Amino acid sequence: MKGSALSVSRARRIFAQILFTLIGVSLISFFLIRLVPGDPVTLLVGERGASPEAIAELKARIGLDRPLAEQYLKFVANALRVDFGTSILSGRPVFAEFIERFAATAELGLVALFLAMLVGIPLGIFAALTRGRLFDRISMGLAVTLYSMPIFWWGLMAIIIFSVKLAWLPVSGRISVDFDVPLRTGFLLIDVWIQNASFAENLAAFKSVVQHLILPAVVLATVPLAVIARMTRSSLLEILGADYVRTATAKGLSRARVIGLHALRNALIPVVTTIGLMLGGILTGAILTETLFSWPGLGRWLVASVLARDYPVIQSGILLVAVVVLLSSLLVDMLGRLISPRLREMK
Amino acid sequence: MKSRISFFIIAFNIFFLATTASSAPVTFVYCSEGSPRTFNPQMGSDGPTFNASSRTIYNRLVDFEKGGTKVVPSLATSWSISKSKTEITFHLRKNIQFQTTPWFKPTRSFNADDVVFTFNRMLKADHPYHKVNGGVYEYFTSMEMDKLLVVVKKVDAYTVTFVLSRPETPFIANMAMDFASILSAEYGDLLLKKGTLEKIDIEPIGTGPFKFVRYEKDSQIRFEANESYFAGKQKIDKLVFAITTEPSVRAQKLKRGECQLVAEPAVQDLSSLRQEANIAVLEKEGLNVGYLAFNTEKKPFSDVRVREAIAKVLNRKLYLDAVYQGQAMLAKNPIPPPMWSYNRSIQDTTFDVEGARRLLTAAGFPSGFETTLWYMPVTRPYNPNAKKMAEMMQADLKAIGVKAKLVTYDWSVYLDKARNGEHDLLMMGWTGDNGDPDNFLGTLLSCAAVRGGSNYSRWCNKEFDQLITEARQAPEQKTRLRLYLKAQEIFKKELPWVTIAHAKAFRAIDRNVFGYTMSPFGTDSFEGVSFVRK
Repeated sequence: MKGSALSVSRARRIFAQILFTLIGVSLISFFLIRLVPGDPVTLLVGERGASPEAIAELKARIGLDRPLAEQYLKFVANALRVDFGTSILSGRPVFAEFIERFAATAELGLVALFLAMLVGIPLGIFAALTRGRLFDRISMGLAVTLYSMPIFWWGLMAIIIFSVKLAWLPVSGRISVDFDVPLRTGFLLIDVWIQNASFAENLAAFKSVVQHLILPAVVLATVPLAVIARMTRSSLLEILGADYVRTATAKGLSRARVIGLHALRNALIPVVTTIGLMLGGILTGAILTETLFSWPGLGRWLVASVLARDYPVIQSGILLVAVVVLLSSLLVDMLGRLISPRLREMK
Repeated sequence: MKSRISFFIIAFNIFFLATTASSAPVTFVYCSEGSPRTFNPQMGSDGPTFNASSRTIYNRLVDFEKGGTKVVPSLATSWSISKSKTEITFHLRKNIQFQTTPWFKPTRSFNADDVVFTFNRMLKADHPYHKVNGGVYEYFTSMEMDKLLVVVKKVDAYTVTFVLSRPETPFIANMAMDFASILSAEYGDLLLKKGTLEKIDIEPIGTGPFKFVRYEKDSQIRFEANESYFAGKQKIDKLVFAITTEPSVRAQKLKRGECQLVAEPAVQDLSSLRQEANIAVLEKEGLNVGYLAFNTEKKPFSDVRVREAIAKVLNRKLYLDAVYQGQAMLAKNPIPPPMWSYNRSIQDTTFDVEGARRLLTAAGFPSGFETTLWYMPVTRPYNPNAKKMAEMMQADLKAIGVKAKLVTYDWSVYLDKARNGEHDLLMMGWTGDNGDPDNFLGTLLSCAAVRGGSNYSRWCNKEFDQLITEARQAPEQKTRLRLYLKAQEIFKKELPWVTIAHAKAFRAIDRNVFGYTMSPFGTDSFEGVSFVRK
């Protein structure tokens, strides 16, 4: 009984927090972009200019002639009905545009994160176990180098070396133009298998998707990899010095069991939390990678909207991204509780 | 064992020959520089939108000749202007089919109803499609076509008359502009019945050389040849736009053979592209002008002597190398050389610091004055680095004691303030829309354009205005030519701007592509283009 009461109150608290955050995000995303000088109509018209009447008419069509408070309330009321407005640039519903780009971003982001974990965690573990020795120094030096590398330069170098000079991988895009794979889920790694084609064709298309994913995923994984490696190393070192680990070793457990069963499990908790925080960054912070590799994701979409002052896309796009980030944080939080019994007991 | 191996070799060779002998569909990949905003050119104003819609899917009543600015017949075979000069009648081509796609099969050929439908959508607020997909007809509204166009009349199935509120000869060239692309009324009716009006701009239907297949947001657009195209089926079977916003990546894709044509290559990539054996770099004089506008409503720029002094002290030739990296030509007229009526006999202002000083002294400023020099914060086709140019100008102006403070704003604020005339010296420029001199002289220098927001020098000269108004209304080219030549003389005498440069435009292309011609308007058309993969 006590447990269920706890979870109900906890659920209530989480819901209130999410609601409060979303209201805050909606206010900030709505008003901040309007504080930035400039408006979409002037940008649309460009050097051509237009008479004050024509400008006023264009503004009225977009609804920019209404008072700000009215525009905000309309935005919130519509958002509650899952109507996120229409893009000024494309004239299309913002929600549809978001969904189309979300899958591309998620596919790249998840693969990059997986890569970062696949390399970063073992690297951190080995560095911790060889503390102060050559491997530790080299790997941590490498992590700092990766962390401080300018992404755009590194990406372009990767293209020139691996795509143009060595001709191993394609330059940019998600799939070769030779394959015309209709998007169903938006995740090309899945969509290539559900198109109406033979197994051989599906396999060839899948190969092309994987080839196109490698470079952008490696470039996007660079910074998270460095952070995860360093985080794993320092966290594991801290745990290895803890009393219970010493006890376990004194009990005569093998080194592999001590590390694998006791130390690593606890050492990974802060790493999982960090990865959770990175998830939001990967969803929105992949702008440079997306631009460089012509990846049709959320980052590019939002930046283009800000440059064009496409208000409906900016305010609703940010709100939708916030929802995704909140939900993924919640998921990571739950994952953390699953790993750590101590967190499970916490209110 | 040996015989088995030789059997496989023979079988492989037969298979290889069979596959290479069959005519594989020709796929052409165009590395475009951005995503289209829409597939309806009525609502666009940018190159990527026009390339993906008006230049591929649609046709217009008239068109510009390939690579030029001359207006030639397209969906209309001929046109005539009434005696009152306010009625323009187009005679339409017969037996033209709209595209057949999985979402639309036309039952009739193109006729006057389609023309009326197309223009009424933009013109009439009560048209069922007027407000669909945002309903912002930016070109149509900002060019005040809604005030010029009174009615579009269907005379018979293949004749349409446009009734105008005033005589306007450039109207014919306007009909070749992208926003005047012809939509299908039958498709409109079908969607109206289905209640899916928004699809008209998302799953477009036109009469053009390529049919729309699919658009994957910000990634690629796929087209295929329109088998019923009136000028014949294209040699390219599949046309793909690979949207690649980063210019250096576009260059790498061309080198790797991932695309065959690159839009807007970066100037710094040109030399490395030229070194590639299988790549050609094409260049064309752009239909543009970069200029420095004097706010002639403000002192001291209301005095022509001050304007001339500044024109003389700016060492424009140096800007060509430093700012345009030599990829531009010095501008002496407000219109670029490829445009008809360009006045070649005009003497350009010469660089003369002493002369400038004398003029400034005569105007009452022997020791110069303080002013502001505005430069745009963005790269434009007519000026790739306004900040650098502003710094060079600032240094030049010091020679005659003019202390210019450099000013810039966010692009939209810059445009807004400039439109309101808040500037002193303003860097600006223009890229032509329709090849008509009125598109430069009228749009940028007429008295009406002061209020219209595109005459940034706010210069209103009655004699000049009279000439360009007459030229706009005169139907005969000879008369117009005489008037425009004279107007350019007045411009040069009065100097409302210092004309700086006409920037070149570039494309990088695979040498195995044939039939491609650069357009002076900066758009890309794939009609008549072929590609032989080697």
